Amino acid sequence: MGTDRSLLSGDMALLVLELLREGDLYGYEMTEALEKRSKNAFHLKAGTLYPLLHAMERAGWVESYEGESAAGKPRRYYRLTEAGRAALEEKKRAWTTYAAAMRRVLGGEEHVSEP
Amino acid sequence: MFRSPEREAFLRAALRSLRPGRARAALERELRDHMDDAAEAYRAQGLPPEEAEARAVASMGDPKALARQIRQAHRPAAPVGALVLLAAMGAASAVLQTASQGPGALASRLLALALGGALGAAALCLDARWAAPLLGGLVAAFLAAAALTPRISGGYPPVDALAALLAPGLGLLAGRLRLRRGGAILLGAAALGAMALCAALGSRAGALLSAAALAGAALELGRRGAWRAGRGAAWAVAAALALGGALAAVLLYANGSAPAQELLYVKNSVRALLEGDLSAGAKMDWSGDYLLARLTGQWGWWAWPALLALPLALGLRGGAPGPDGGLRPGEPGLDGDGAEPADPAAHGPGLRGRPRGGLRGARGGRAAAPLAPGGKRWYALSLRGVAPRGEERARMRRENELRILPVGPENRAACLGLRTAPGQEGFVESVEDCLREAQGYGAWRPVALLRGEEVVGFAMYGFFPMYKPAGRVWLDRLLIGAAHQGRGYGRAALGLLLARLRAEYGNRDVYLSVVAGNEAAARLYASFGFVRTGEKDVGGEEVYVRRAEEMLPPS
Repeated sequence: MGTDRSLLSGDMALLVLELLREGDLYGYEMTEALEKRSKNAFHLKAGTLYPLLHAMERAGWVESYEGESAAGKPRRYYRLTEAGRAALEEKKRAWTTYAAAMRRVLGGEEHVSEP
Repeated sequence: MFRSPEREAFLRAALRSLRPGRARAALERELRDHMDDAAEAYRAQGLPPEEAEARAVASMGDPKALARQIRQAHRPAAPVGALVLLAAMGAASAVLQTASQGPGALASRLLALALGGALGAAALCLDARWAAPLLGGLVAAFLAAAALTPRISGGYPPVDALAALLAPGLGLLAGRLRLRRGGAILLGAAALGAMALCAALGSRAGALLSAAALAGAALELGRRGAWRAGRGAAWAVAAALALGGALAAVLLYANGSAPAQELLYVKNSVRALLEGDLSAGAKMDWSGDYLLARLTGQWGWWAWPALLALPLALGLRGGAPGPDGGLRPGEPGLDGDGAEPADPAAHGPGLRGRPRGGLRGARGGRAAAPLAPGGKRWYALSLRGVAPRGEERARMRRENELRILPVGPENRAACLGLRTAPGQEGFVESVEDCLREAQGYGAWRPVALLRGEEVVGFAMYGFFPMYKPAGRVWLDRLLIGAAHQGRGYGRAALGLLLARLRAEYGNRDVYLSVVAGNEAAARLYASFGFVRTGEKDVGGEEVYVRRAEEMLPPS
């Protein structure tokens, strides 16, 4: 169970939840979207993504269903649940606090506005 | 569209940690889809197909890490509800027992309650490797409790209660017998009958052994997915069996006799029965109060947890077809061939799939292993305790592989003996007609489909140059014998045949025809990418074609 939690507590979980906030996606779309939005900084390997998605589904953060891709192919889509939304907010807050603190320590605190 | 050795190796490694079942099938589909998409994207960038495929697989990451993490994500949750239920029942019964029999009985009941709880938990959560220790532990617990309880409680050992604990364990063992569906139903019926008889005669030992056999049969049925309707049916069957068992248990105790007199009683009862004197054995007290007291009394509260463990285990694990990437009937995205009767191209629960790029074309490229008649892969599904491993699994795979051999003197008679199932007459010509036609037309190649050494089906194919412009490859007369239908051979055979056609004739369009009304065959062909051409053949049958693959893995 321990690793289960660590899967969910990682930064990838935050990124995936954020992607799903904007709409339902299937796995491959998520890797694409993340690469595009991070300007290729984040490469989400399928080997990480699917265990994460399955753990999130189990935790009740996302639901999956059979849908059809734009190209008309059957794909397994994921949808954010209410619990997932709450988890996302929580994670975002934690991350912003963390990032602000890091910036403050690494210098240029005058640029930092409180979250 | 593509099926490369790298991809299959990746999937094998990635899926290793999950048992065959829904979750694994779903993951396999996701991973295949992902690789399809990735490969397509690479091809769109102008990479050659082989390169695109290799990169797509590489982009997936480390399959071993995936296997490890997915295992974590799917670790079974403790069946809290079931355990609470067991504990509550046990506690309630212990209170009732103490109230009716005084504190002396409590100690032995509590001891056995702990064992019962452990058994329920074990049946619900334990992994395959714990099955043998579990059974061993049960027997040890039985012996220990039998030895200890007289000292603790001052009474005679609760043999009945302990045997009730053992029954599911014996059932597990009985479940290992490789019964076919008919055998399992027979065993179940025999066990039910034996239970009823023993209950009427008042023999606890007999009834308990019958209950064990019944449990085994129930497990077998659940594993086989005998009604192929998944979890709901498994629940219904298990509930009915559990109810019957509980009823028999109540009746048994309604006629209760002391353990010491058991054998004598059985002997007398049987003698009485043989002499036609039923009144000696059948002394029943049907009053509601008495039955209720028994229900919450000794046997009752022992029997309930033990019997409950069975439907729970079945409901949670049984009846969910879908080994190795197969899909459950009725799952969204399927072409819904869940309930149709068997047909010349019979389907098995394990090899269903929707038409998908990943499966097209090369399905037969690997040794297509249809679901074993014994449903052996189901060992991993029903109760986890009995999954075959290593060598045994390899042996099963060998046995289950389907082969294609030309029809020759050694198998000709067996081919001629193949019959389609009732209701399928007219879907396909008789083997005799086919062989006669093949003799007339040199182009036809009749082949026998074998599983192990047994002929299970027949097909014909050939290249017919008279079709303009380039001639046509025809696949025809695929049939699976009535006795072998419903096990996925049709699908597996079609995959093998298509692979063979490609090996012999290259990457070409493949034609076949289907009699109007043979819906199941039409669906099977559709799932392999066959589409209707709109033509009718000489016999008025619908002509289907499966276009040549655009991209082929290097063969």
